[in-house]
Amino acid sequence: MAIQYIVRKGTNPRIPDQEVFLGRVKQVDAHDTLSLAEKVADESSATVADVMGVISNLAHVMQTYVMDGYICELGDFGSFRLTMRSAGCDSVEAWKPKQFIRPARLTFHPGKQLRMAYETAQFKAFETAPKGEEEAPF
Amino acid sequence: MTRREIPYHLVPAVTWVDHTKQNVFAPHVVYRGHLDLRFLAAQISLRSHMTEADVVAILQSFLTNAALFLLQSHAMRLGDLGYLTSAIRTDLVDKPDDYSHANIRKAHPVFVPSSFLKAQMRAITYRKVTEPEPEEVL
Repeated sequence: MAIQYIVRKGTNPRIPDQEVFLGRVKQVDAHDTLSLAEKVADESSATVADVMGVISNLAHVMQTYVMDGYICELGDFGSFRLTMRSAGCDSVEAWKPKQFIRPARLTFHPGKQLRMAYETAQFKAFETAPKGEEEAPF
Repeated sequence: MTRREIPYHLVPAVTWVDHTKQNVFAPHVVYRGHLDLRFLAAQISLRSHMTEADVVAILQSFLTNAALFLLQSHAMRLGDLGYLTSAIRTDLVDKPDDYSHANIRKAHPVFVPSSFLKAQMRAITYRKVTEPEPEEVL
């Protein structure tokens, strides 16, 4: 189990003309709610439809409550909350909402266990299969 | 689309644009309360034929699998909510061959809200409060 990365060309924000290289996470796969539901259903007595229903409802319920100003805590996994963004204002008296407030953001804060898992995560350089050795589609 | 009003108050903050600026104020959401996994499970249970205990079991299995997927460089699309993926903070190097695991400072999860959710957040209105209201106990 490792987080895979690739090395990409980038720019140094302090010296914009300098050519530098940095690592980026390589997404090896993407799961939608169906594939997640299939995985969970394999490990439980619930059907794929049941799990799909729970995950879809979770997204809907969380979205409703977060937008109402609640923090939704998903145990050790983390929490979702609404955060505000704005330009800094020099004094409380000079505050003008329309001038300073930018659109709100929905943020995810990882829980303690997930943070610890990331701290001890292993990394691996992503390797592409050499040409001619790729798996046939059929 | 329902218009929601989020209460906020101004708190002393640090501006990242100009570090020399002192006594800057920024808005902070006054959260209405914290919702835990059991409360969310109860809400989901009301919308389905499953018991709260079944929903909690499915959610816990889902969150465990989600964490494992994230730590394996997989991304997850969570319907209308958005998607979760992993990212790394890294040192910059001059040559791609110089890059190794040692250059990775930290890995962390990243949540990207869906375009549907972003549109909903643009419709939010804000209400300034002088004293934060006490959080609701649900």
